[in-house]
Amino acid sequence: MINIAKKKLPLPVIVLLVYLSFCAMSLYTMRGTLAWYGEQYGFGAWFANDVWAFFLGGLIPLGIYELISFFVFKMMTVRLGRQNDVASLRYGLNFAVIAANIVLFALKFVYIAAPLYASLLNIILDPAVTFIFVGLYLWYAFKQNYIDKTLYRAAVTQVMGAFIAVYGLLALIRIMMSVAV
Amino acid sequence: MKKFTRVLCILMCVAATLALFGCADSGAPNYKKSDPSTFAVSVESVVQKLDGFMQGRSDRTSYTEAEKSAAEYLRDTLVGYGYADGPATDGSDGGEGSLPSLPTEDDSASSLGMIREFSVNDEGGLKLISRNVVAVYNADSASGKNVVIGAYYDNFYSTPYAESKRKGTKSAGALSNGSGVAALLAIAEYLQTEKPALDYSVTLAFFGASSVNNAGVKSFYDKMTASEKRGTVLMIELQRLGVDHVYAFSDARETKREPFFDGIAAENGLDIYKVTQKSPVITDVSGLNGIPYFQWAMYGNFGVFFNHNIPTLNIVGANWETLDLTDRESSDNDDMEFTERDTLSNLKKYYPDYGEKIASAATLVVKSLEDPAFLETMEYDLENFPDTDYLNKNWIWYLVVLGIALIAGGIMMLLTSRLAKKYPPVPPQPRKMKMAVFGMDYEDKNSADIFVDIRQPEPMDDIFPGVPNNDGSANVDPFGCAPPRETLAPHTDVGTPFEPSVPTEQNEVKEREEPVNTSVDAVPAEEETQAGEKAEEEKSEIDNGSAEDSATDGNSQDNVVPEPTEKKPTAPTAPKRRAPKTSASAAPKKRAPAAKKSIKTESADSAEEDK
Repeated sequence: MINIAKKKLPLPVIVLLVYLSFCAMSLYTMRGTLAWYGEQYGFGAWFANDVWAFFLGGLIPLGIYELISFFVFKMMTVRLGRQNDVASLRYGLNFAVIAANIVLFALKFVYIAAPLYASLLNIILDPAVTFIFVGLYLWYAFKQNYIDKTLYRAAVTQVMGAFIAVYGLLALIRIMMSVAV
Repeated sequence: MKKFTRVLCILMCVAATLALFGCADSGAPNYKKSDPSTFAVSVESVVQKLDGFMQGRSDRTSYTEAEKSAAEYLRDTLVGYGYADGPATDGSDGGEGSLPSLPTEDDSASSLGMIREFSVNDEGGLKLISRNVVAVYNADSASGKNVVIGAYYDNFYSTPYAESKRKGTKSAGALSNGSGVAALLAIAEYLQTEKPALDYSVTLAFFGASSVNNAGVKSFYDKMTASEKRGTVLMIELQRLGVDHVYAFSDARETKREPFFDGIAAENGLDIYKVTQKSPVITDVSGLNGIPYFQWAMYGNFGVFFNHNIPTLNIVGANWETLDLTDRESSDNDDMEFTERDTLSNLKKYYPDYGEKIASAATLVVKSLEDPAFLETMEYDLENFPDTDYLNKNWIWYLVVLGIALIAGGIMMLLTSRLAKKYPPVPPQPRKMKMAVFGMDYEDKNSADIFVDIRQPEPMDDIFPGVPNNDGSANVDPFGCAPPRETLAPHTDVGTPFEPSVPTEQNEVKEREEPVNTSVDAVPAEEETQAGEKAEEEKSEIDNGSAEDSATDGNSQDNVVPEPTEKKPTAPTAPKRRAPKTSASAAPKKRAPAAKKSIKTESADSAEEDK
C-alpha cells in the first residue's frame, strides 16, 4: 500500500489543494448567496459572478477545517504522545478531505435531477460523505502504523468526533442562514 | 505523489469548467426567429396600449387615489373591449365578462364589479384600501376549469401613506409593470376580438398593492371559492417585459407545461428563452414560495398560487445569460426596475424592440390557450403537483441533522468499542526521575525509573532541552540571562566531589593516615562480606579490562580516570549514562559505595602486606 505521507508535499501546496477542493464543494451554495446579496446591496457583475463565488466559497470552510484540525491534532499529540506519527496522520487527512470534497462537488449536480430534494440530500450527504472518507482514511492510517494500535480508539474518537461535531454544526447553520426566508 | 497531484488538479479544473459552462444548456431559443408581423398580437397594438396606460399615470402608488385612477382606466379599457362590468354577488346573474362565482370583496368597500376593493391594515392599525381589476372570458364554461392570467399595475412612485416608513422610488414603472399590463390588455382584446372557443374560463386580473407584500394577489386568492381554487389549472404572470429576453419559466422540476409552451413558441417563431440550470439557486432550505429552492424566475405574484400547489408560468423579461449572478435585465444597460430611470422614454430609448418582446409574450399566451392540448397538459401538471409544504418546515430539517448526528455518533461508538476490545489501551505508567551521582545505582532492565547521571559529560538535550550540563556542553541558554561564556571565571580553586581523584602525594599520605575501618561503620557486616567478595571479583575484572584497554588503546592516558596503581586500585570506570552492560563496566548493581569502600579497605590491606 502506498504511504501518502512518505513524500510530503510542501505545506502551502497541500493547503492550496484543500482550499480549491473546498471552493469546488461550496461553489453551488456560494453562487446563490452572492446572487442574493449582490441583488440586495447592488453589487454588479464585478463581484456577483462565478469566479468570486468559486474563490470565496472555499474560504470559510477552509478556515473552519484548519482551525478544527489544528486543535484536534494538538490534543492528539498531547494525548497519544510524541512517539506516534501524528504529523503524518494530519497530513494524510488532507487528502481524505480533498477526495470527499470532490465527491460532494459532483453530488451537487443532484439538483438537476431532483431539485426538490437537492437541499435535503445535500444536508444529508455533506456530513455523511465526509464521515465516510475520514473513516476510510483512519483505517488506512492504522494500516500504515501512524499510531500505536492501543491508541486506535482514542484516535477514532478524537478525529471522527470532531468531524461529526463540526459538520453537524455547519448543517444547522445552513438551515438557519437560508437567505431567502 | 506529483502525478497524483497533477491528476487531482486537472480533474478539479475540468469539473469546475463543466459546472460553470458545460452542463448548462443555453437559454436561447434554437429556432429561427419569424417575422413579428405574423404575431397573433401585433407590436403596434401593445405599443399603443402601453402608451395609453402610461399617459399621465406615472404615479400609481399603492393605496392612493392615483392607483384608483389607474384601476378605473383599466376597467374602462376592458369595458371598451366588450367585457361587462357591474355588481356580481354570485354566478346567477353574470353573463360573459361578469364575475359569476367570485364573491364580493371587503364588506366595507363597495363592489364595483371589475374593480375589486380590498383593505389591509398596516402595522399601526391604519386601514388601507386598494383594488384589483378583474375580468373573465368565457365565464359560462361547463368544465369549471379556469386559467388566471395576471399582471400588477401599481408602482412605488411615492410614499403610499403618510405613516409609511417606505419612501417612494419615483419610478414611473413603464417597464415594471406597464409592459405587463400592456401585454395583458392585448390578450384581453384578442380574446374578445377573436373569441376563441375554449372549454374553460380565462380570468384576467390586474393586481393592485403588489408593492406591499403582494397584497393584491393575496386578496384575490383568498376571495376565490374552494371550487374556483380547485378548478384553476394554471396561473400565468406577465411582468417586466421589453428588456433583452423574454423567459417562460414554470419550475425547476420537470413539468409538462414548460415543454408545451416551448413547443408553442417554436411553432410561432417566438423569441422565448428558457431558464437553464446555470441560474443560481438561492436558498438551501427555506424557499420564498414554499419550496426549498429559489431562482430569480420564481420572483413574483404567482408565488401565492404556486405555494398553494397550483401550476404557474412566469413570463418575465430579463437577461440571465451573463456571468452576473444577479437579476439582470440587460447585458448592455443598467437595470431600470424600481429606479427613477424606469420611464417610457427610457424604455423606448434603451430597448427599441420592447414592443416586439411584449407582443411575443402575449402571442405565446393566446396561442397556448387556443391549443387543443392545453387543458389536458395543465390538468396533468395540476394532478401531479407535488406537495412541498413539509419541505419548508425547518423542524423537519433540524430533525434530519439530529438523526444524522445520532447515526454517526452511534457508528463511531460501535467502532471505538470494537477497537477497545481488540486493542485494549495500556494505562500509562508513572515514571519517577532520579538523579544519580557517581557510583550510585543505575536503572536496570526491570526498573520503571529514569536515571539521569548529572555527572554525565554528554549533552542531555534529549531529556532537558536547553538546560546546560555541568560540563557546559549545552550551548542553549533557556532563560537568555547567562553571561557570555568567555566571561565565566574558571573553576580552578573549587573542587567537586565528582572529580576523579588524582593521586597526589598528599592524598596518598591522607589515605595511609585514614583509619581503615571508618568505612566499615557505614556498611553492615554481612553486606561488607558480600561486598568484599564482589569487590574482589570486580577488581579482577577491572584489572583484566584495564590491561586489555591499555593493550588496545595507546591513548589510554588521556582518559580522565587515573591509571590503576599497585597501591591504590581504581574505582569502577567513569560512569556512563544508562550504564552499558559490558564486561569492562560490569559494576556491581547494588551497594556500589560500600563495594568501593571495601575495595579501598582491601587495597589498604594488600598495601600493608606488600610493605
